[in-house]
Amino acid sequence: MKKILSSPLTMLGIFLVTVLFLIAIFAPIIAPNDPLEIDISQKLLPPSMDNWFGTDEVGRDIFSRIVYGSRISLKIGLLVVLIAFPVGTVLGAIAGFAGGIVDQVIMRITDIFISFPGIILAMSIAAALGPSIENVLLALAITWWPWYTRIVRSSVLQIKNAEFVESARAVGMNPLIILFKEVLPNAIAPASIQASLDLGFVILAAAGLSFIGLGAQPPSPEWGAMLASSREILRDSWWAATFPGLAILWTVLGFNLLGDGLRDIMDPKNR
Amino acid sequence: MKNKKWFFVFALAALLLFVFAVIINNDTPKTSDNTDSKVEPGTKEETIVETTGSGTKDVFNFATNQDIPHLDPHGTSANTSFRVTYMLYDRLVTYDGTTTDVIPQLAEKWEISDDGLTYTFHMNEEAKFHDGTPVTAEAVKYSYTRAMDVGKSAAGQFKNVINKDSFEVVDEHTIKITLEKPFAPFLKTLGTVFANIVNPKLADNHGSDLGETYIADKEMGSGPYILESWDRGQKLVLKANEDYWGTMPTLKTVNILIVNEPSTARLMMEKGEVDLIDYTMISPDVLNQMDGKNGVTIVNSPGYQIDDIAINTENEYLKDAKVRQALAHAVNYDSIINDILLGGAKRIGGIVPEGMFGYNADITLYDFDLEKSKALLKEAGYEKGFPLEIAISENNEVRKNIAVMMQSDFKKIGIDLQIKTLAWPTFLDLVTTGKHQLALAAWTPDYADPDYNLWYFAHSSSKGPGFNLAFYENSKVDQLLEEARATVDEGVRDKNYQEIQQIMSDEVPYIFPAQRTVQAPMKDWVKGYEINPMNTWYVPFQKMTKD
Repeated sequence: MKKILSSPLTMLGIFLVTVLFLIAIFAPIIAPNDPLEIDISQKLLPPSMDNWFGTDEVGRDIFSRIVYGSRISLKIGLLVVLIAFPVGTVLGAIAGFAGGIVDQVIMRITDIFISFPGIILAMSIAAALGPSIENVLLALAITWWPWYTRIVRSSVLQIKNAEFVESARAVGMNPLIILFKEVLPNAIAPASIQASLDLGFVILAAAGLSFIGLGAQPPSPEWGAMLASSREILRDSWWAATFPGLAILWTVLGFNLLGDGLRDIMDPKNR
Repeated sequence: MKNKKWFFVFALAALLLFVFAVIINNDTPKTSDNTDSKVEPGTKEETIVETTGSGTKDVFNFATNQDIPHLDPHGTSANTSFRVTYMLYDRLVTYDGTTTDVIPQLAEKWEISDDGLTYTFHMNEEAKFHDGTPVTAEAVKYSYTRAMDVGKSAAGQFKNVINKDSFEVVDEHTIKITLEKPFAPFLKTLGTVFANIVNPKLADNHGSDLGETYIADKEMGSGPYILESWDRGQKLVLKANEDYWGTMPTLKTVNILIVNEPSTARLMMEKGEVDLIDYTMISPDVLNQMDGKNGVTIVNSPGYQIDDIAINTENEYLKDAKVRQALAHAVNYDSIINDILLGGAKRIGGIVPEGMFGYNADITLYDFDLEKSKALLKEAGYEKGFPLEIAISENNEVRKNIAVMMQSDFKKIGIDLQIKTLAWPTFLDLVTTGKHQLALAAWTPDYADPDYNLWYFAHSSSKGPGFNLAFYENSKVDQLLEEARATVDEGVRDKNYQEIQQIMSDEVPYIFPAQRTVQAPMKDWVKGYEINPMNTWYVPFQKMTKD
């Protein structure tokens, strides 16, 4: 705890992420307008007291859209990590612990996934499944798990010959119980730090996919999609693209700083 | 601790960079190697200035975001290829200016027999292909035969009209074409880009695909311009044909620049690096902001482009005409025209554009009235509404905004409208196989005859790939269309076409949001750019000048 308080950057990260979660939870209270309500007579108005961040090309309030957009981004970030993390972790633990042919099979499959550039793989999956936010979620989850597999496997390999594991074996414990009760809890820290960092990157990747048209469909207030639809009018209506961009910046920076802070605290090497 | 500071600076810089890269990267001219342009934006910029310098009066720069797939004179269906092949090749007759009637080109004069079956063309004896060989009647026969054999887009307009036995070479410069049955718009079809006359020497390079591969990046025409160079995805250069048999073009060099981002094209135009931008590229909001500033004028010209929403009449909800009428009442036409298209359009009730022969000005127009819409849904038994999907193609802000607006209005009558944005090939596949419910697209005819629009949109044989995307079938309409096609009596044709428009207005297989005005951003110094309401892609480089 002391360590957290002594690191201003970690504090900043916690602050950014906390605010983000609060905005997402209390979106209906914070947002002054319906994020989907069209009033075309009010289109492309600059920021003002009525519309803090201005209005977009069909007259929707950008502030309200960004507020609601936080829900979409957080949902994607959390769900992707929640799917990819357990899958990757379990596979990595099994591979590392079992060794031999099982290890070979799991790791070669992992290698196949890793050898594709993540965003390209996600793009082709999203394109094949058709554009929608659910498919982006699926595509990102499919591209993300192998990294956890690798991390967990290497930590399991380090731990599996440790004395406490040996002694568990010696008393004749079921290997599966050894794996999940003794090995995994001690091997999971690096992967969970990675997961907290990944939240930001997943959100960034999802925004990127939406930006190129493979993600959120109109009228969804997804940040990447908002950025895409306002890039053409950027020169005369700067607010339409700037604020969604800043929202992405806020989020990714927040998760990055938080993840980095966690690494400093939990990584044994830094102790 | 020191490390961490650096990390912070780095993270912040990287993220700022990302946000701006997302925005600005799209502002830098796209090159085949993207990383390159990021590393050395300065150098790329200079290259563009250097190669496209607009200070020269006889060099013209045209920017479009639609890449040119290939240059086969008969095998392409891309407007962006048409624009080039129309310059490289001549036709017996051609379209020019703002009129939708054909004028003589390779054919000096022609006779049509009284039964409308035989066309005799007398060709200009001066005309030469770019390799110096004369353009003969044999070349015409070869070209039309090839167009039919290639079987791509060009074949459609000749199908059931002529076949390989229709031609009779009377002498070197006279050809007689006999139709299978009377087809009133035949002459007009000969002015389209599909009727380009190609040098018969192409036959030496036929290979196994009628020379499609061979000619894809070459030209063997007789037109006012020759193909100088083509850097795929970047730039195509046309050079004036110094030996042209007709009037010599003033613009000696025409650069067709592929610029992916509209905002980049705008910047280039304001800096004077581009003289004219493809009219499909810039959205109405931006056009408004460009007009009258930095020596840019927006050319406004009537066009035959009609936005259409095809309603799949084979869908379980949409097969009921009452439901379709309800939808027609739930589209806010005025707002689309005034707020989304900013006045660059007018109201239209059918697929025959105002200004074309056969246009019916008296058909029922549906007003925007959600109460009527609800009442109609109630009559049809869908008081509680139903979910619906509209497909649109990507990268089209206007269509997206129209769809978003419909979504908002449809909600008020209980219809939950989902928008599906698809890449063009996927979109095309979806709608031609009839897996769509609603599809928003646009239509511009290739020849100015209502037969073209109505046959494709309404005849039951055109369902799906034929572009009857409503999968509409009405035996009365079929019969009227067939009758009009087979007669040369303009009165009968006019009457039939008007009647079809009224029937379609009653049954609403399609909703027509607007007939567009063509709006193209152009530098003040450009003279002679006339927009043909039909071939809106056509830029008459051969008669344009720069002051």
